[in-house]
Amino acid sequence: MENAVSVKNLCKDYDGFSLDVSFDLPKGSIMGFIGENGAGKTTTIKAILGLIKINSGEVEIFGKKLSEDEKEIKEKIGVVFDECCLHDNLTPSDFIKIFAGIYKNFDKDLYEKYLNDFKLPKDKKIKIFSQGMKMKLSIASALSHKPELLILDEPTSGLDPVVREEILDIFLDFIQDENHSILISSHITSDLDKIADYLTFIHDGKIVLSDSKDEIIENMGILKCSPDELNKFKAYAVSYRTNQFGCEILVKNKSGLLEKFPNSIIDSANTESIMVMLSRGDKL
Amino acid sequence: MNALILKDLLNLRTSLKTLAVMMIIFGIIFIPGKNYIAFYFIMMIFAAMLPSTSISLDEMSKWDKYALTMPITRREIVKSKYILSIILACISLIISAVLTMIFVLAFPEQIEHSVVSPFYFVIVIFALGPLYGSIILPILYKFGSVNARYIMMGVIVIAGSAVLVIFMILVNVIGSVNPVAATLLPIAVSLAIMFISYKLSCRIYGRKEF
Repeated sequence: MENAVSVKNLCKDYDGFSLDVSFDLPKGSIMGFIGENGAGKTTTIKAILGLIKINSGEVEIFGKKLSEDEKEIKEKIGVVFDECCLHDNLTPSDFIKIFAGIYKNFDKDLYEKYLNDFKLPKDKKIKIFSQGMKMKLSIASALSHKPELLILDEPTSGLDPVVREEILDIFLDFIQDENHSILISSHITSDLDKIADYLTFIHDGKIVLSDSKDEIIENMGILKCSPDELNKFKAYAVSYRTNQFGCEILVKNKSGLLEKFPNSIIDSANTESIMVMLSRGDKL
Repeated sequence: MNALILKDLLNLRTSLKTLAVMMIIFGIIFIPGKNYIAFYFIMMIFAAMLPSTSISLDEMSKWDKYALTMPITRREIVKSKYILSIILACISLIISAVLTMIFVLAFPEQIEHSVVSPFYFVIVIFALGPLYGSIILPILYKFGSVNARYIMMGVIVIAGSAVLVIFMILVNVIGSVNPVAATLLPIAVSLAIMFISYKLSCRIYGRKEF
């Protein structure tokens, strides 16, 4: 299957932080890019978009490098950051004229339709918009030139559950077209549980897990045991944590483990528990 | 790139209206008193400061980060500021020229006593106006508008004085001998410096991370 985004050994070094990531976003799917604050999600996204220079590695979008065909590629990408980057003293109407001059495929009627659907006032300055309204405006701006790929960097953080649900529905609508893909970075795991097809976990600048969500949920679990039993499960352990009641191990190949140790207590894992275990757990 | 210039002009809407009103008020105050040189100079400096204001507004909105996700190159973003500089200088030039024409028609006896036509000053200051932008823009790109503020104050004083000195030399040494050359030379020098400044700004902006 063709990849919408392909990242190979992308390395970026800062003072005290090092990024080294590889993953692929298959076309037609939504990938949740999960990690705690400071894990490297935004750095990875900025590197993909060419906003920061990389030390080494390759990034391809729609099979092409940014250096080969920057404008052509960016015509087909819509980006939403965690803050609205549109000038406060301009109105959505002003941006119709601006976007029309930037994007070849900008659809004024589509933009106005989104403004109506999201109940955003066309001729009021953006400075009076609430945070939810600004985020919806960013999304309208990202969708109105009919992109094939949406890159979203924490688009729902700071929003209430009602607005978050509205926004997730918009993304689910976008992905109905099998040529469309979404890369969404978030630490709000419940959002990703709802919409992601693939999950890529990043911790401390490294990818610790990247697979389809169904595979992950089916194969992984949280096993509870006593501290002296830890080594027994080493072959299946991804990471473990100790608490006052005993140990919890994030295990892979749940079914294989149950065959070998039928009396084991394994709870199903969700995105949040996996993220916490990967970030805060230790290796066996 | 036209869209970027449009964006800047829309952003500077309020500032442009203020500039226009100030030009008319200062024009009425300064020109009849034969202080038209000072008037052109002040107006051109105000117009030349507007690209700095637009960069400041872009920084506040984190616009550049977003703009670079769109089909716009870094070079186009920089070029748009330089073209904006020229557009604003032209606006200042047109208003100065119109006010001068009114002055010349209203007070013809004032003109007879001048060595050089006031229109000459309009054109020379028009040439020197974007020079300010050429000095300021690479500094803004390198240091950002907040940090550059202090450097800019020094630059205004030094560049402003330097421009005035150059101007006086041109008027006294060349103007009386060959007014055409004296008019064309500042324009040529200004354009050359602007080109060098543009290349420098492209290099600085090209390396920036957002």
